[in-house]
Amino acid sequence: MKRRRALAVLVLAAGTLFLRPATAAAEDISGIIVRTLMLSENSRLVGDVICRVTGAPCIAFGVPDIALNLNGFSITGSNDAATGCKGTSLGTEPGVSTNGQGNVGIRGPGTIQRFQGDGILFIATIKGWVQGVTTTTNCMSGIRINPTSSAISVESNVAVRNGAASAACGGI
Amino acid sequence: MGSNNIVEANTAVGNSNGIVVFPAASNNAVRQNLAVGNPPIQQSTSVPNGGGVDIWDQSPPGNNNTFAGNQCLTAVNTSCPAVSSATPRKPGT
Repeated sequence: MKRRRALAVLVLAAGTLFLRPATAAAEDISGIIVRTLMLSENSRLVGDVICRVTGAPCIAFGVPDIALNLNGFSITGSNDAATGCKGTSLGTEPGVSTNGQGNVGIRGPGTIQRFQGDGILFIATIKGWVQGVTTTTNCMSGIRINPTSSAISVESNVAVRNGAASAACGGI
Repeated sequence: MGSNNIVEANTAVGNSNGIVVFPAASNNAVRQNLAVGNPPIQQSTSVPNGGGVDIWDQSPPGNNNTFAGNQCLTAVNTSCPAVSSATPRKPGT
């Protein structure tokens, strides 16, 4: 009898483990980033981020089906706050790149600013979204959907002072 | 911009261009956005040949990109309806 009861408890415990919801845990992000931060799970900012990555995205998606929540904080590149872009753009330095991953998204409120490339770049991404994000003083577009991306929803964002006079990009 | 995208209810102000649909883009919907003051006046005066508009459709007419209900003052290859006649999007639609 005792053995049966123990077995039942064991089965119940194992069942609880297997029946847990399959939601990804969230990675908390804040502080200084010096090389590309590759996201592998749902993530959120828990403080402002300063980015010192050169020649590559500051934050990139590493797997599909996840989201980055800015959570009211900012991601800031190395451009000058007063003069903005300074006229030189560099496409390899976006703030956030979808990096070819599908069904990924960026949720505001929050700010992505002062990057030498785009603020947010959707590249080779099928299905994605960006919502409620402010992009400002990025050298290329605030939000750019590369021609290799499709089924992207860009909704309720604010783009201010993005782009350089020499390039045909801009807010969105 | 690629294909089958939706750009909706965004605000673009003071950028070198507001909203740009690139030449290869197709089947995109650009609707109910506010794009004004693009490019910023500082750029217009200091770089007179820099160009820039609020909404710029660079794609050929057959690409089926649609523009509806946007508020803007300058545009290329699409219309900029009078601000007063633009209809705000109803929540949930």
